[in-house]
Amino acid sequence: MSLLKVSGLTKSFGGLKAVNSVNLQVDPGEIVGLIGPNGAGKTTVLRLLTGFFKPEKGQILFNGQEIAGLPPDRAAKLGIIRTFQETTVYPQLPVFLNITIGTYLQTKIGVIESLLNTKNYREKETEGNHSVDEIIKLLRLTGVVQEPAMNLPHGYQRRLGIAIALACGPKLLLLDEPFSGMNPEEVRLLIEDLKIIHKQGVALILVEHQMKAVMNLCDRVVVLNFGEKIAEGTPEEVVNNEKVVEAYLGGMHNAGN
Amino acid sequence: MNTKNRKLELVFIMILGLLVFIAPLFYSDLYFLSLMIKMALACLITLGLRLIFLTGQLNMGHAAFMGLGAYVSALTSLNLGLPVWMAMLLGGSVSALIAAPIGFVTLRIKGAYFAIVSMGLGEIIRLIYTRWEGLFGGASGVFGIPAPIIPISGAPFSGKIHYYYLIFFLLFLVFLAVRRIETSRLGLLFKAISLNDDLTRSVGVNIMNVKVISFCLGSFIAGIGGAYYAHYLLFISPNDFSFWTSANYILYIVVGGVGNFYGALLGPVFLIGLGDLLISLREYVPLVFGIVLIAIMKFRPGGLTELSAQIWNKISR
Repeated sequence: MSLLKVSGLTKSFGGLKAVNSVNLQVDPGEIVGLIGPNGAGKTTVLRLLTGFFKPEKGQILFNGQEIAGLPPDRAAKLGIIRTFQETTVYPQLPVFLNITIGTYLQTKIGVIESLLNTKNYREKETEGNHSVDEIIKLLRLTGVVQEPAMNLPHGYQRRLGIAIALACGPKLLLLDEPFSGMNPEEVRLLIEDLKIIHKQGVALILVEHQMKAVMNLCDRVVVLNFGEKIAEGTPEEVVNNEKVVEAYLGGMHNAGN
Repeated sequence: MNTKNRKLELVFIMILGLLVFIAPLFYSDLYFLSLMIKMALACLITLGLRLIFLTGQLNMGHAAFMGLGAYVSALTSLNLGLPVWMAMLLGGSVSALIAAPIGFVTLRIKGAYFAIVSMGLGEIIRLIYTRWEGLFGGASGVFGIPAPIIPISGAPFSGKIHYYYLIFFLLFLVFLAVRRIETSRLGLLFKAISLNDDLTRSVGVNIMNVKVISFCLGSFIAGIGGAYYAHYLLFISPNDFSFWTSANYILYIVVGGVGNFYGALLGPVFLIGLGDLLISLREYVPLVFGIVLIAIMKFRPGGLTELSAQIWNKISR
């Protein structure tokens, strides 16, 4: 059974159909790329999947369960976690606490036990700290654990954003342009990191413009243009698809005639 | 916080507690005692405001929830004969209970918008006390409120000294609770919501629930403070809980500094102390407060806690 099965997903803003009956499928452990020109509706799809927008029409089945219209926290509880396009961390808090907030779902600490500092609370806290330590090692943030996030270089901050998402224990991780603003070296390192995350059994949806990363990582690529799916296939198939080339380059063939 | 700082803090709290405990033995001047009570009560209620503020919501109607505690405690002990201690607890609880539905509706909005709505809300609650004369006694308020009973002897509170120890006992409990919340995972969630609510939602936190929890806890503390106020002055009227009272608590928290827990203690102590020193200026005291507020915002936006941390660093270097 597929992990995520989306059918007929539709969302419009006023008269504009931002996403128009899109079908999408992700199998467990798969990396799916979601590409398209600016304004194609990629981020809207991602927001619809994670509950930040309510779809107008369509079905979103996650592990066989209908999740369309669930609020973000409920979607996250089921294991579908997103990152943000802009660098999104808690700037004033140290790296360690940033990731600790991400462990909320794993530790499930209640109000009363927080207040009373019970044995149960302290056990959960230690457990949470362990998983934070693991993620810090995994994403090579060891040297900056106590540093406020705002003092980190751009590449580190983006990686921290992914670390926070990873701390939630996702089954499906939706990455919204994780490579934006990165230099080639940072891109190379992040590709390695995403491969490591993928090896942990996490399925990924990668919304990206950085074609090198998409070609390198994705099993399958879905191309959107003006809210509609125009192509789907392996990365090689997609880059050679005429419709895709046209969408990106704006009808070169006509211009040539 | 590292262990050395934590030990230093513990020693500091113990010395402060000891001083507060023995001060009346050496200096039992009634004026001094009432000044200390005023400061401690303001600290207690400001700590409640701080809990709400941690999630990023500036409550400009905090005094209304203090009023709820005061009215509920005063009326149930006066008219229903409820023991004062139970009435006070009931006052705090009712304040928290009423805060829950109000929070669910109003905490959806943020920033200046929430501040304005909470200000209007506080005034609406105050107007209910004023207009519902049958229940709340109208503009003339409630008088003849019974004093608390000393648990062992069974005699009612008779002197300022009793109230002095009661308020510092309550402040100590609230201090421990708020400090505990701030350093726990719950406090971390409060801060996470104020720093970035979308990110916090995306990691699976139901931020409405967490905001409502902070609003209820803060209102509970305000309600307890209000109940104390009622059984201390033995007379309350709607104007005690107007917007201007709320404005004072905001002034305290901002001047004290929002970045640090101790700001909620430093602010009230400093401003009430200053107001007392300048008592001969009479109606011009708020003017001085205004100048202090502007100066703090301009030169040390982190408040007195930031200022004292900088001075401490200079000395210890």
